[in-house]
Amino acid sequence: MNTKKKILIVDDDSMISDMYLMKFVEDGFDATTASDGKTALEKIESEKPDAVLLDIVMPQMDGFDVLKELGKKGLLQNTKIILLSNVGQKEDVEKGLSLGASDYIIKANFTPSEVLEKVKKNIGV
Amino acid sequence: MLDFRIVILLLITFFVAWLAIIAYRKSRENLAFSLFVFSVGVWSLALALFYRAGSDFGNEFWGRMVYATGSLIAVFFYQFAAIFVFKKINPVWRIIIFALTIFLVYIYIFTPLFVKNVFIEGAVKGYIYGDARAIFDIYFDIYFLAGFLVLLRGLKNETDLSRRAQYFFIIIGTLIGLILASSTNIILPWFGRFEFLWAGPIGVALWASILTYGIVKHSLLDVKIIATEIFVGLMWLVFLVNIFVFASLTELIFNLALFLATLFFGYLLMKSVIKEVTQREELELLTQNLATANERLQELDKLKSEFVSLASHQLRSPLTIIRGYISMLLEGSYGALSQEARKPVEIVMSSAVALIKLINDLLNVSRIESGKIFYDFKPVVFADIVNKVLDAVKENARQKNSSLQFNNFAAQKSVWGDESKLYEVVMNILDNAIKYSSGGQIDVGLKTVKSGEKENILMSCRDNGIGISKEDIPKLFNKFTRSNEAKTAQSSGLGIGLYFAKKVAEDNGGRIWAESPGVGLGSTFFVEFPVYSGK
Repeated sequence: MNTKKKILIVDDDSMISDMYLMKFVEDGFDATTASDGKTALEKIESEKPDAVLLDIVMPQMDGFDVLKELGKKGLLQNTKIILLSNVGQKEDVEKGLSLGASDYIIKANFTPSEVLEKVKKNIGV
Repeated sequence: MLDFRIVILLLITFFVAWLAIIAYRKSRENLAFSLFVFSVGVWSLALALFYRAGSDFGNEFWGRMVYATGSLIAVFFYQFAAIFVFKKINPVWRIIIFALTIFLVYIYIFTPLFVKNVFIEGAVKGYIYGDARAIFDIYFDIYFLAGFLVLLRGLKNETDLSRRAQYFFIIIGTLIGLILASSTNIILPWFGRFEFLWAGPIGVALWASILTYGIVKHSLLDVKIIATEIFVGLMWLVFLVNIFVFASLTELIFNLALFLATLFFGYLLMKSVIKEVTQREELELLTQNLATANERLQELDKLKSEFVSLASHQLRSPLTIIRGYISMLLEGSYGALSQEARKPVEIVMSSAVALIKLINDLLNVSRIESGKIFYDFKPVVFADIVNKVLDAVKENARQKNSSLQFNNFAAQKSVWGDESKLYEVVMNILDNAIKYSSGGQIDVGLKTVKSGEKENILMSCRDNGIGISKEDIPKLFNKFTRSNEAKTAQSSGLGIGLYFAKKVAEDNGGRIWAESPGVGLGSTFFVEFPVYSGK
């Protein structure tokens, strides 16, 4: 029984993704990162993580585009997408949730530990 | 029975006088112009009286006056040209011209040097000239030539398009007038032909009309204004002619008075119509400028909001990192921290958190100002919000040795509002209570109050902190204002937290206020919202 949960952290700022990576690995997750939308899609398709921390503002393909693609490919059932962004107006939150994300976190307002707790809550751990 | 020549001359006199009046403005240029045009009228009148004259003396006198007044036209024309181009005439020049003119007029009237005699041959009246005739003719022509040269030079140096147009009108009008008038009144007389002496004014009146058209500013050629001017002109003509239709002295006096009255009121009417039209045009221009300025302002406002928004988001990224790593440091992810190391690290942490809150406030303010606050109204149990906030701040309170006490007498009553925004309002109040007191008790109370028919929910938050002075209480909820006590207790802070809280409270149908016995004696903040009863 494989109890190690898989998480993919997507952010174009490597300082941020490394920070969360550290926390999740420390907590026992099988964690990896991606720095753009395209790579993220590929990794989600191939590795099927339990959760994805998805930044919104990224060049070329932004978080919303990734969500839409995931929705089209039907990959949202088994993977919980948590939007992680510093842009956080109500319209953005609603857009994200309506596209299939299960939560929306404003990075600056939470410590990595708090983000960890929220992810665990979302995937039911 | 009136000589047709006299009728024409009188009409021309009247017409030219009318031109002089409508062209009159208080500027030096227009005054010089009016004088010029008026002198044409005087000359025309002199000619009319010349033809009217029956006695020898009358013929001699008016015959000479024709030339005297005619020479004035030349002088006034030059004067007008000089003022139009140079804006003024050298006063020395003025005196010289004036002296010469007086001299000339004297010669015309009192000596045989120019006009020796006036003769009459049937219907034609003419002149026998003196020996110095050529000199004076040339002298006369010099004024016109000088005026012309001045105008041409002015045209050469003028770049403004509308002024150039005026120059064209003046120069061409002058050429036409000169050619016509000189052919009948200068050239033909040289050959002893005086039959068309009376027709001179026609050419000159044409000249004056063209010049008037050029001088009067284009925008004043509004149909309303021209119609009024023509109407008033005709009215004057009628009442002028009417003077001469009288049966008794009283009637004559009455007609005269009537004419003067119409003269006066007609002038007033023209002035008021012109004023109205120019004011209307100015108003249109102003309104347009206002609209453009307004558009620009809105654009700037949008840009400002976008900038604040962008800057705030950009600032959040490094702050996320700072907060993230500091928290992990404190949690021991990088090994245990010594007790001494913990303290400074915790201070950095709270600074980072304060900065983040500042940015959140800034963002909120820019959103308020650009009207982008989007409320999601629904029934919300107020006590739940208070509990959530208390939960979020309890760690912060513990660190500052503040003990929080919540007394809820409002049970599960709800309000109609936006949950997250109400949360922020309560959070603001509680956060301030902790921030601005150094430990001690913080009492949060919730109860219902009756206000007439309605029921309200009232939240109070009392602390034993720095308090608020009487002068500061009214300014508390203003943008960017902080009391001196607040600044001492916590140096950083934009002063928008309460401004935001007030705006949100009011947008959600409530109100917020504060009371304090004074500095150092703690403060109590109140928020009140109408109870939602399910309707």
